[in-house]
Amino acid sequence: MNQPTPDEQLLEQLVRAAGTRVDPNALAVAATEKRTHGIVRDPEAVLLLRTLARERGRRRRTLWGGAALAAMLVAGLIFAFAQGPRGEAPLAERLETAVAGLRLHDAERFGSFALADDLDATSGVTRTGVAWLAPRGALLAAPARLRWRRPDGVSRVQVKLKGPGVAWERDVDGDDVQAPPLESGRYVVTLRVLGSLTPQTLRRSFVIADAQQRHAYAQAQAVWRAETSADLHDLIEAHYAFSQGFLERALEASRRAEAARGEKRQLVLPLLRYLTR
Amino acid sequence: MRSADRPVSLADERVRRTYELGRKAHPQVDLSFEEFARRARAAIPKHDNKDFYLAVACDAGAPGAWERLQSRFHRPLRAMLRRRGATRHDVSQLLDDVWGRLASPPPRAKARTRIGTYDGQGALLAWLATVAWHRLADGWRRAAGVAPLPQEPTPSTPRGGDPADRLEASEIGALIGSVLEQAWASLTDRELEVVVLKYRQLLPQTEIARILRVSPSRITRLLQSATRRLREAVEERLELRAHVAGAASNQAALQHLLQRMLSESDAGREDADDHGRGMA
Repeated sequence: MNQPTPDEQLLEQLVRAAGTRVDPNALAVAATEKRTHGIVRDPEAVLLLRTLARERGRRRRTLWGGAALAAMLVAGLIFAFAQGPRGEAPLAERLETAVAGLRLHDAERFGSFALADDLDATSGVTRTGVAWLAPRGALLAAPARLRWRRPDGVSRVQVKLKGPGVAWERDVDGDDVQAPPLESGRYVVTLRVLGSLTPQTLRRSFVIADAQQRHAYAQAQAVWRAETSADLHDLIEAHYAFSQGFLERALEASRRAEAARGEKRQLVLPLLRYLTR
Repeated sequence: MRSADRPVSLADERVRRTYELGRKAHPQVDLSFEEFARRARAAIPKHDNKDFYLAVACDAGAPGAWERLQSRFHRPLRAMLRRRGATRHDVSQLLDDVWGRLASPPPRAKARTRIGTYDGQGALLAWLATVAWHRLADGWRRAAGVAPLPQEPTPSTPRGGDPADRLEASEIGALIGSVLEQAWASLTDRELEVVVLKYRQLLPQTEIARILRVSPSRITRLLQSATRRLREAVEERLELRAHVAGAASNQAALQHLLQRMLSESDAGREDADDHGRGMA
């Protein structure tokens, strides 16, 4: 192995002199008050401060860009209506138009709704360790079962579930178990592989929606069912549920759309791949 | 509850104002004033901070608080982590992990959950971004088989000892601080990123290349240019101030200052361990 050069040693010492870990509270003060309290002697803190500043700038630009895009879209829609009826447009185009129409029809509910179009599920990483499968994200109803994937050669896992009024634990042979009765709220699940030479623990959380959130979802569903054509419903639900964090619901709707085959299947495949990666 | 014969202090007013700001910004999160005041009085923010209410409500387990926290910060955190090199798949899993971790008890602090260690003096997004970045970097270290970093932050100021030593240490610390400030500021984002991943996170260059999606030779070039810029920035400052350390050359002056700084921060770390601080 090559010996480090004096310059490399200097660099290493400079980083070491800065400490080992950034204090989140100190960094929060530095980011908010622009007072650095000596925290800028740490390259990691400088990197995080720059990232936060860039992200703030990007969000400002996105806001203005979004407003300009919305104005162009409205102008486009007015122009399209003025041109009168035409033949049936491709499904992708109709879906975009339907979503834009929902945004205009009910800005409060659909104002921030957009089709997920930058999904990348092609990383091709095959994971062999323990993985949590379901439930994920937010759920409209309590889950019936908890599901995971065991690493190769391991048969037994320990599942712990903590949440509002629930502290539940089971040692399980297999890949799923019946969930205990759960109320609305946030749950943290910890999965520990038993009998493995290397300890593996996984912590995930999911949320069961309360009555108010379920009602809001049902109302949104009623709006798109009333305002858009029936062949778009599954696609709209898949994207809407995904945007709201209801991942299991988005998965169900994506599978329904995939079963239809043809153009509809092609449109939903990126989202479905992303949800099942 | 206010009693008629007790004057209302500035701190009471600030607690009340912070509570009202938080309620207005997060109307879906219901936490009583008494509960908020009981938890927040020890560390009430000096400035207006509407998200402090949300953090306290999460720590208290108020209905809707965690959902609000996620819906408010999920997108900016996701964007921030993507900017720092996390893949889409990693971000999704990592954020699930971060929310779960924030809801679990901290190792040594008095707060009920880790989010209770947020002191409200800065923006909650920056605090969450730091915690999420630590988790991301810890994951990379685990994947590369590198030992984990200590969980405690490095204290920024030394405590105890002789006043004359403290004065000298603070002068040296200020000098080092200003040198380092200029040095790190002279690096581009990419160079800074590579330096942090190599010398703070101790990741091998092949792993850094994989994370940043560039070739290993590009990492070597970035490290070389970072080293050159740092040396230029450090030498520029030490030419003006070499006499402070009483050393003959810039290199020797720098080495001397670094040794002092390192011993100072080691002493500070031991002191901090004695005080038993908690951290997310």
